[in-house]
Amino acid sequence: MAKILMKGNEAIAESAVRAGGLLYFGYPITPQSEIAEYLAHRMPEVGGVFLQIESEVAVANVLYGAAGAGARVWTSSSSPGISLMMEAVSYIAAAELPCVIVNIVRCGPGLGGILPSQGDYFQAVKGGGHGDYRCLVLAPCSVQEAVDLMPLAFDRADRYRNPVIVIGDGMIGQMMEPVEFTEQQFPPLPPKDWATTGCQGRKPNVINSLYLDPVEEEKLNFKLAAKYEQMKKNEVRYEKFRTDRELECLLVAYGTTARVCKTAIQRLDDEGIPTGLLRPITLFPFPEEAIYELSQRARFLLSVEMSTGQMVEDVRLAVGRSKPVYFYGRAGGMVPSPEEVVDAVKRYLAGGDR
Amino acid sequence: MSGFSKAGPLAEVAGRPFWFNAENFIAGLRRVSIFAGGYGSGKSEIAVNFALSLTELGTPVTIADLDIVNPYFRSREARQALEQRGVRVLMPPVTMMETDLPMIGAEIRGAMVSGAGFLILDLGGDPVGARVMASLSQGANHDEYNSFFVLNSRRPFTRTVSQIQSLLGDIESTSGLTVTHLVVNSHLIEETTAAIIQEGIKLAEAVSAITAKPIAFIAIERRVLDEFDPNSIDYPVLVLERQLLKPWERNDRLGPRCFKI
Repeated sequence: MAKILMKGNEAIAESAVRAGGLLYFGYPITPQSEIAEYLAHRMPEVGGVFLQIESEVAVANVLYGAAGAGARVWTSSSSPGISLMMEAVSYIAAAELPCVIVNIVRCGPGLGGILPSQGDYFQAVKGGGHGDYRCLVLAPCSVQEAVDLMPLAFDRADRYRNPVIVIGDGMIGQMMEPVEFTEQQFPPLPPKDWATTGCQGRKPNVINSLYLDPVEEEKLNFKLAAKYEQMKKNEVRYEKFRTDRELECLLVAYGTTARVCKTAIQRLDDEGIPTGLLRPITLFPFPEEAIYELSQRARFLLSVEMSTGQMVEDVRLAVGRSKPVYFYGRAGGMVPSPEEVVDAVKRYLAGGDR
Repeated sequence: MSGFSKAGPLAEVAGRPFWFNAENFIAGLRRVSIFAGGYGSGKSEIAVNFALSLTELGTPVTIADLDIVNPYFRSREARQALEQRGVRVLMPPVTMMETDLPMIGAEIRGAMVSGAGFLILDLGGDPVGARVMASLSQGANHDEYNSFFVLNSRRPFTRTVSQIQSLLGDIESTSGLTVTHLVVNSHLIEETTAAIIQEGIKLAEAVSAITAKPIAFIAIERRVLDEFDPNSIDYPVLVLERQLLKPWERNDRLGPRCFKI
């Protein structure tokens, strides 16, 4: 198929449709409304369902119900809308149901603005809602990668019976890049024998999460914890860029910020300052082993984010006290420029501004 | 547009021409040029380059960003580059620059009715972006306008003649405008090839045959000119130098407002 030019939001929607995500429930919010707009047009063509629901709270509860009935379901929103969904996402994780949630992050906190941000890192990777749960979190850095990660998101949601979050900042949703769609193959999935599909001739399946008996509730918590350990073992994804050498600095950045860092690295090369990048593709599980290994060939690490410092905490956990880990961030909808990253690397190299 | 005097190699910047085969087209330009089209057809990039090219001809140029739909990659991001080259830029107040509130300044309404030199209007994408024209065009003299439909054959909903006809019709009915010309801007940004441009010209010719809307010009990024002889085609060519870049594509220092040019 010939390459076409797509906006991140449209491409995410098309890729989800091709991956069988034919039940979409949503509520519009900038900067991801093109997902809903695209699906309103596209779902009728493929016999899918596009349904705008009255609020994000309701959307997430509809996801819960539809996922419980065994359907491949998904939604998308942006930061404030995702916050509204968090209660139900906790319920979905507790009931061990699969769904995909796309968060095209805008700047906050509060109502914030509509420009790009990575300020929802904590919410995405540390649970987000109440209770002891995690979501698998995928963070594309290009429109093509967003296309490629959507089928994986649906597969892993089904495989782990767990919510999967695809997180992109507003830039990933809004920018246009050439893309192509290729079919991805996954091993067969187990049957959804837990789904509430009508219980004639069998015991009812239950998809709630009420456990008044502490013994039972603890069992569920340990079962979920074991699942997250499996994710840590099997699902870590990352990209290494220019790390096959001794480094002055190892940059750690994801999404749009990683693209900025790659340009910065080329300029640092011109100035004879070898710098590499580790780009997490999964934010949970976090590529802590890879970061630790690479850190050992760098003098220091710099986490570059569109936040005031969130992922940097996980980088520090990964590295321990073996190497200094610094932070450079912009917030409020500002995107760091390659020059700013170059300057920050040079500043820390000179030992200043610690 | 009358009173347009400068002839010869059109709108050169440092020896690099903005236009090829365009003498007649430029001489026949009306006062107001309106750029409409599908989302992501490249309207803003074309409007900005069009403005820069006309200002090189020594005529006053005003550009108005009427994209009230989407806050990303709008022509207002090129404000500084435009103003440095002498183009007057009309847009919502600075405090409202990063919003998607549907506001049109009184200045823009004024410029629609009368003014010196060329006025270029950059509409938002799709019928929803063109809707703003429905109120603006009331009372204005339509003989003063050209409205250009920008076409990218590599966008998902403008791949075929019937898709394009349908979008054209929707834009005309929501805006109250009659599209007068087609502009071919087939591209995949950095992956554009000569073949993609040729494909766009063929598609536009097919649309033109049905709608009787002529092709005004072909937009080609300067980088692609290496593999494309602009004199080999029968249409005017506007050479694009990308002004609306992604943050990591910037070559120079961006300053504190690093999202912007």
